[in-house]
Amino acid sequence: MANTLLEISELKMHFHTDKGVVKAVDGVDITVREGEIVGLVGESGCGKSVTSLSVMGLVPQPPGKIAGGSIKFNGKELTTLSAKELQKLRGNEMAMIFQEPMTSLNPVFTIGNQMVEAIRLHKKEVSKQEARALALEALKSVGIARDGVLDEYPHQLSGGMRQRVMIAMAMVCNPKLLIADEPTTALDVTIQAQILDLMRKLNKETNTAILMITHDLGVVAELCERVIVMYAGQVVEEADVRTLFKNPKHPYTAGLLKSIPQLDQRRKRLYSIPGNVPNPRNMPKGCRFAPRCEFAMEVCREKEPELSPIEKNHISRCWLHSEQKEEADRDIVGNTASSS
Amino acid sequence: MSMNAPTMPTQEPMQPMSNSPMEEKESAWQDTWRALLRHRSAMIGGIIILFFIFIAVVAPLLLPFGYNQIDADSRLQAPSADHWFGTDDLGRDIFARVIYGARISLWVGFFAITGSIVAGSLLGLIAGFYGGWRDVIISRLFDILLAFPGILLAIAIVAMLGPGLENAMYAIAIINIPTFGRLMRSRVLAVKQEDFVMAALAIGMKNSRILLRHVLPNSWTPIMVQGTLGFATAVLEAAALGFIGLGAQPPEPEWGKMLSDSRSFIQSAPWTMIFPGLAIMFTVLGFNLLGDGLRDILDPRMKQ
Repeated sequence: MANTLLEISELKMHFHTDKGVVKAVDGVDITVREGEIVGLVGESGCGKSVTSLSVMGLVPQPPGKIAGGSIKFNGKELTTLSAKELQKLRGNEMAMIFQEPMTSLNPVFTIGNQMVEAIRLHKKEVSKQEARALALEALKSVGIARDGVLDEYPHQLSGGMRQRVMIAMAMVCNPKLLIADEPTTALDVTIQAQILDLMRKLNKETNTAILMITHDLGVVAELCERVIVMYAGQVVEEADVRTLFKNPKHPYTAGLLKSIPQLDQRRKRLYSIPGNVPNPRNMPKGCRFAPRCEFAMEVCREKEPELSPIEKNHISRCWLHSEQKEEADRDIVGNTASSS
Repeated sequence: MSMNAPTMPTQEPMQPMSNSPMEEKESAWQDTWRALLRHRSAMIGGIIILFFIFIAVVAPLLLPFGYNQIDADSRLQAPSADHWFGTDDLGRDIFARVIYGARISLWVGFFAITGSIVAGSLLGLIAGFYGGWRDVIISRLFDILLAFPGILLAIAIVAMLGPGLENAMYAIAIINIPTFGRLMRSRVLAVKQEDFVMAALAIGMKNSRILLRHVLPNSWTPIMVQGTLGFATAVLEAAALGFIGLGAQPPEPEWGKMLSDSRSFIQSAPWTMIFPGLAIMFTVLGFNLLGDGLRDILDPRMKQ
């Protein structure tokens, strides 16, 4: 088994706003091994982007504040690193690509100019000519073979091409970890497939681990080996991709899977999970999904479930599958009895 | 350095892909230039400015009279073939004085505005990009400067430094700093939210570098427009300071000073006032037209 590359444990990233503390990420554990592709899935606002930005050290602090937990990358503890040390890691050992390729490149410089800059940022000894050659090579590896691209401006490229440029730029220093924050969301489906292929190819060739953040389960099924599902700032389920799709244990995961529209499902209303994501300033007591959960029991509304193993390599945060449920039930009964 | 604008590669071998639909191998500069040529009032403004620059640079060499050449025999003469704009109360040729005045006014305008652009942009960049206490201090500084009517503040500054053209220039530069500073700050606040700034952070770029490479080049177009408009204001302010005797000192042929010197002849020899006044008007008009045109052209909402 490959070595652990990234280990996030009990990470809490809180935002201090005028209206109170927003616990955007509240005790998240994520492990990514070398060369692995891990999917991080969840609705908008569930904390997946904040988690990834925390790893990169890109959450503005203040208002953000790491309220607890640790992020270990390649054996190094990131939460205590200085801004300067983090900056050295970024782009060098870990890189990130973003959702919007249309605006992720600076409109006033050519592609070549920006790529040379990115290369020379971490390889100071490289001359401009060499950097240009490296840039060209990187562009070829992401499937842009046209020479002239280096002298073109971002507005002359399509969205898919720009995302390729972004990937090339992120990969020039051979990072150990690539965080991809919904890299295909803004692209149309055919281009999506190309970009996913490209990422898989790069993963195989360079052994770069990829943390794929997405809300698209299709992307996950296509690309990832392991999936982590987040809900309201917490991990609710984690399993390898097959197990998760076949046998989701957490009602939220099951709901997500049910929400995927299917072609053979004619004349039926599309399924959607009832209710809304809880307000992060005012999380429900007990399980955070309980208000929307069709299986919610008494214990769910009283006590927060732990993330507990169900079988090998499959963990879930749900009382339905927890061995501690009976114990918790007793507690609640005891509490209500004593308080009444 | 900040203005290292995208220059297009001029080598021809790049042409093979000219059949691609995205083909528009031209930089923002060339785009702007072409739009400028099409924009009528901007063109008129530009021509007026070029004309004044031309006479300021060249014409003094061609004039038959020096601007300080006193001729007691021909005092307050009406415009004639010898003296196109007439003569003033000391018999000096007004045409020569107006032309030398263009040198002074353009000079003052240029340095004053350059000064305020540099200082204002720098402060605005820092305030907008870093925020926090730097923003508070700088923004309050701008507020303090803006709390005074511009010309009043300029008078106060000149009064402190002592009258003279150079001090008037400093004063004009200082009172225009907040205009540029606030403009830059607001642009920076918008640009720093752009994805490419985040992307630059994600590849490990330093803040200072992001500021110079990503934020500044994407923020300076409104500064350019405001600078052109500000030039007009600066010329006017220099004339105003000259008029009240705090700017150019005699015998410098500053337009505002010429106006105030010939106040008493407004009825008997109106040409002594009309021509310097027209010169001020046309210079200001030229810069305003160009500035308005640039604003139209560079405003993305006005495109097509």
